[in-house]
Amino acid sequence: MYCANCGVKLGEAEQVCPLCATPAFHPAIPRPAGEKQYPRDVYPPQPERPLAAQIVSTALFLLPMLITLLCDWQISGRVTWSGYVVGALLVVYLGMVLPFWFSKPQPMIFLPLWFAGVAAYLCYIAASTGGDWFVPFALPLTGVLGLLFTALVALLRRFPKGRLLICGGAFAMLGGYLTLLEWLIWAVFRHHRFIGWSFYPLIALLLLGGTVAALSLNRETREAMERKFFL
Amino acid sequence: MTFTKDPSKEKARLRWLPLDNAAKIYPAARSKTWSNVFRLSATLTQPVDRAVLEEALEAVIGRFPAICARLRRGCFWYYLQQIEHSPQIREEYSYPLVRMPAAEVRRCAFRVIVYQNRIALEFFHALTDGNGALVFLKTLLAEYLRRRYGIAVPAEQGVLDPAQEPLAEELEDSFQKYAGSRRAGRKGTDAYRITGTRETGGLRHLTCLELPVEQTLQKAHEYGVSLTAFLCAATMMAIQNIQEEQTAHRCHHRPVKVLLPVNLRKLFPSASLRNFVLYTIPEIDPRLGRYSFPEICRAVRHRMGLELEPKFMSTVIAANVAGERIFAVKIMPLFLKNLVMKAVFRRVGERKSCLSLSNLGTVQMPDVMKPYISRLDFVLGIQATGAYNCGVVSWGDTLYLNLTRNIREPKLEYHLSQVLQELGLKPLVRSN
Repeated sequence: MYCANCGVKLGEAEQVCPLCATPAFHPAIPRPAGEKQYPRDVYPPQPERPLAAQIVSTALFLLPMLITLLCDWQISGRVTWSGYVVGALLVVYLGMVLPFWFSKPQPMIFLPLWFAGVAAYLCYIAASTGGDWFVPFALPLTGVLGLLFTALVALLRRFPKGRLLICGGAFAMLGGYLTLLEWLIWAVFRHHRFIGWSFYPLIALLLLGGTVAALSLNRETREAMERKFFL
Repeated sequence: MTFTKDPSKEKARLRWLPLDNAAKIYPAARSKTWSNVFRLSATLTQPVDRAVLEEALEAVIGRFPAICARLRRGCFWYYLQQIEHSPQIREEYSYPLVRMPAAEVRRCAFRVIVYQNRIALEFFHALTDGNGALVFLKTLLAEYLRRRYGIAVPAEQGVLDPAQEPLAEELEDSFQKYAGSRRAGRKGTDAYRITGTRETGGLRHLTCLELPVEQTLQKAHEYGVSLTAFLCAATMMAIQNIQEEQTAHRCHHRPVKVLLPVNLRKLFPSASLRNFVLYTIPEIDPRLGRYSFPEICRAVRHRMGLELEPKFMSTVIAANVAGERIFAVKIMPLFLKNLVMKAVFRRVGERKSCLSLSNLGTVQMPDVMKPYISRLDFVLGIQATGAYNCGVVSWGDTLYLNLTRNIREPKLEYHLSQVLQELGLKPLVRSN
């Protein structure tokens, strides 16, 4: 029997054309059930994911944590400076090792989780040093940065073809973030008058973001730039 | 006084061989998701008797110490060690060339798979090339038919006598012997790569296009080329069409190149059953404009005519063996060599062609075997980073062109069948 779409002759066992997926059927031509060349649905067992690297990495993180805690306990009789070391190591572990325990780590879960870990670490530092800067200063900065990064990754994954436009928007948002940073420093700490240094990177980043966004929208210019700057 | 065989001494007498020059790259280039494996299979007219096949296999493995071997690690190089007993016959999966993990290669670097009437052999490429594997398959088939049907098969046309001792020239690394005094350059541009939705879990699709040999050969002669050159040109034409579909602007097109393995035994007087194969890469550059089929045929014929010469090939062999002869390379620990070779393989080895098209040619066997064999297949494993590979073999009056792919969309199969149909050939299509 021949494929009605692409015209190739089909083997007896082919129920659909392997080349164009057109069903191999003709009401006037009875087809005997042919034998396929390979058994149906018999697949090799998938190899188990080796976890040695994760176990070794976790041990490498746990070891300095325990040693630091023990030393601190021996010297001070309680957790003092070792808390900062352990917290920092936990934050790094959260970002660099924890996702690899999972076969398909989802950045949309681990990225906010990591920023939450950073916020918790900063909260610990603020609490143990008696500072009152966490809620008015560190929390909004970490939260906004976490939101920005999560949104950026989500958009890049959802619209991979619009990456230039998304990156242009990200540059503009980064400029806005720097302005927020300066305003928060001024509003919370009030050590000096409002200088407005953040407007310089804001303008530069807005220009850069605008250029990238314009390039993403103008195909001819983009191709001209590619020709000019290819490596 | 009686003498008994000491099993430990027997084991010590098993042969070991350093890897040949072409094989050295394969263990290093292997990864968790890819190993360089190819398959040769024969479909018989009657179902395969496993017990008889096991006996036949046990009888022939001693004759092929370089093929019936396992891969071992030395301090500085890998080596092959002959296996004592034949491997267990395996069941077929829904697709061929399932990845051969390192642990398996250390036990035995080839597989025997039986499915209904078919005997399939899958080889890790470090053992041998398609021609060496074909000799092993023929000898195994001959021994199987002798034991199963009681026929007398003469040791001719690639069938070896299992009772004979292996010859020294069958085990030699012919690359060392035929390396020239001058070295060829290795320049070459990166080729266009066919892309698509990658299958997960190592799944491979196999599509076999069956063509009448006589008609295809006649068509090849109409264009003034050999059968291999004709199939290569048709494949290049199909890839050119795919690229035109996928990339709108011609200035962004990349060269279309097909890697054609060359059996060096036809150029040099070698009887080696190990790897002795190099390649030539015919190419067209679609940035210069669309190529017609006769133009592609001419490009392929001229490239093959230029490079398939013993003198030229000896310069390529010289360039390949030069690296391993450097003293500093020799004493470099194996894990360092592996790192370097893997990087070189990924950077240079694979990007220079769209796919390989390996044609084993028309297989000859002793007349008494022919009534028992209905078809042969040669299936190449996919390149580490590519999407396709293609193995061709002719048996009787049929040519079997097996395309393997690891992407969901059958782009090349579709376009190649269209090109063949436009040339007046009607392929029969089967898939796994």
